[in-house]
Amino acid sequence: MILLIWTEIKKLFKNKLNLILLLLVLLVPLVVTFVSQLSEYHSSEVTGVEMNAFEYLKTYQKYQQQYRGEVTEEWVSNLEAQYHKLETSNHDLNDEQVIEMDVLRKSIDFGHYILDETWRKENNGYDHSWGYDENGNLIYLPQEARPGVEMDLITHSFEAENHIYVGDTTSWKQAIAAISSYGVVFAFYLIYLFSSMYNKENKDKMMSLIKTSKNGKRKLGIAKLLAGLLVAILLPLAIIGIVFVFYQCIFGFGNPNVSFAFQLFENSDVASTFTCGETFGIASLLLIIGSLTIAILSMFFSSMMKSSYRSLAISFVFFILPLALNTKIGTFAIKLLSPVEYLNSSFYSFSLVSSIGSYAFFNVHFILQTSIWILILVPFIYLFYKNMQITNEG
Amino acid sequence: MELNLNKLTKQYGSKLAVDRVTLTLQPGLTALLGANGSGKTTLLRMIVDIIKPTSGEIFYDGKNIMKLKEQYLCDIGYMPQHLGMYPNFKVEEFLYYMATLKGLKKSYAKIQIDKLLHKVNLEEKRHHKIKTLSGGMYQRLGIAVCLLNDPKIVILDEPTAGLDPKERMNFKNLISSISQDKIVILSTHIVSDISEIADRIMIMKDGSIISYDRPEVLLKEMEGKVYALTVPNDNVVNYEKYTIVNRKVGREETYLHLLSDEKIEGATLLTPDLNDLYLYHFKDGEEF
Ligand SMILES: Nc1ncnc2c1ncn2[C@@H]1O[C@H](COP(=O)(O)OP(=O)(O)OP(=O)(O)O)[C@@H](O)[C@H]1O
Ligand SMILES: [Mg+2]
Repeated sequence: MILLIWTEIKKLFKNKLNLILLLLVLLVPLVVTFVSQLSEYHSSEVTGVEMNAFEYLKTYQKYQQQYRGEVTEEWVSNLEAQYHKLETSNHDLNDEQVIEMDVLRKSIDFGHYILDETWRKENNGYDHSWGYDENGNLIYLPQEARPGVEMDLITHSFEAENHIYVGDTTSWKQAIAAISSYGVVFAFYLIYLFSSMYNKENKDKMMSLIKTSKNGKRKLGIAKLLAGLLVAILLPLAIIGIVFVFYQCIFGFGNPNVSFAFQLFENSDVASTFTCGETFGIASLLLIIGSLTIAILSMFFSSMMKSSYRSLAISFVFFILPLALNTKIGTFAIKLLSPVEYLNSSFYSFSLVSSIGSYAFFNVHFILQTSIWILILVPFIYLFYKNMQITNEG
Repeated sequence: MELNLNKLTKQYGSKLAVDRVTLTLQPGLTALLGANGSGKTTLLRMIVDIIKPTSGEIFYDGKNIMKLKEQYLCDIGYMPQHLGMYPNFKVEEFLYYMATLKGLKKSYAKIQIDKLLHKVNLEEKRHHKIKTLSGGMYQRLGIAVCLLNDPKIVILDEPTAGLDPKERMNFKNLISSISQDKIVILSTHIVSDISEIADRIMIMKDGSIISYDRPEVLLKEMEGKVYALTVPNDNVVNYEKYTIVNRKVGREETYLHLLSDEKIEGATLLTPDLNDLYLYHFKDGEEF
């Protein structure tokens, strides 16, 4: 059986086109994400300093490391003292000090947000910006209130946590963004790869040789399924590995126990009591689960249809049409199937997945849903394969 | 060892591709002759269990093959009419792949592959990709694949299609060398492929087996039906009603080789051969 599974996997990637596309799929999203991340910090209008993006991020990381620590009253007051010292120094701040102050300011904010309930309420969570009052003092500008339920959820979750750490989030932030950016491209590749799993032998006119051999009759149907699911786990793992190694080499990863919310805080985005390490794990899990869902559905279509073009088309329609229709349900459907998309949107829009509650909910939800798909479809795939008749080959 | 077909029928819509075929197959080479569309491929596909008969059943040594399942396939070697093999696989690699599918142990597979590559004379192509093989080599590899599991029942669907005369001869020798202790069925519409080597001949027409016996017996039935004569060129029209196997037009006279149920005056009787037999059954201008 192991040999059968292994030959099926080999066959998938013996095809040059599959292999080239795989390399592209593995590398392009990473490169694109990295380049766009750098270009985000490209101009001095954004960063406030005359540095290239890479230097800027490196320096930023350096100060995050320097002022890392567990969020306590003491830690916050230390940072405040340091901030005050820099603020009141007479000479003009150099670029490094500008960044240093930026890091301090955000860390102090976060500290207040965690420790001080009144502060949290007054400032409507953390979604605020800085501004000056009529006397020229630096103040927080309040913004629109967050939905009540969500605020409660966030508050409760943070109060339930005992230790919250702040530190270097550079690589975590970028690596998780990179993983999310794989979502759609990777989904397309998987659809392409798996929607001919059971019927490409028709095109190759190999089906009658296979079905007249002892293991080809039925056992291969199972082997293909297992090979497919294995590939659907290994490919996302490869992506996660590549992303991890890449950012490890470029910036290096900080302590995984640093609060992910702190990272998001910098982006004024989503709250979560997860640590960076945990969030990285969640992102990876979502990628794997999405990949499994796509694999099982595409394989199902391929076992149903004689022509691999047809099953490819059906798979695409099934996964893409809901998006094209652009209805709420449509977008919801595709996001259910490829949960990485959810993760992705969490970076850009607050409204979809915004808190630990929904993260956890969606993880369980996705795992359940994927298991259900697999349980329902496996018997059908097996049956369709077993009863496949070879009528007009050639 | 015996294979029994019992009222085997396959219907496609209103088309009866195979019509109540009942016969017994025994070790030796059985040639399945029939014109295009006569149902050869459909019959063979049912025998190797890749299509289900509309009705009827097949018994292998008295057991229904539907019940034997994979056990039956262990004894089957099949070479389909439109033989597909992965062009990007190397010859040896493909044989190992097929050996895995056929459930052979690796050590046994190695022995078989070495033996068969020698037998089909493809040893020096062992490490070449399949797409680099010539048509003849490709067919020979097909035979090797078919024989990998040392099958007791070998089904070859037009294995000689597209081969040149020399390859055809090699192929004939190869097949005759394997068919002593196996049930071999070879379908073709090229009579010379199986003359001299067939133990039995089965003629299929419109889905039915119209004759099935040893070649000598079938040829004996043909005796007195094959004539040769030479007639003036303007007299040839009188003989068009007969099946003309061969004609050789000369300056004034034409030599005719004819098939006829009734005696033809002035013609000499010829010893019938398989070609005569085939044409006798497919005389209605069917292509062959
Ligand atoms: N899948 C199918 N669907 C419908 N009709 C079919 C199918 N397969 C075969 N037929 C019909 O059944 C008849 C027998 O076909 P078959 O392929 O068995 O003939 P054959 O003797 O192998 O011909 P050839 O010498 O051309 O290979 C033909 O009329 C063909 O059109
Ligand atoms: Mg045929």
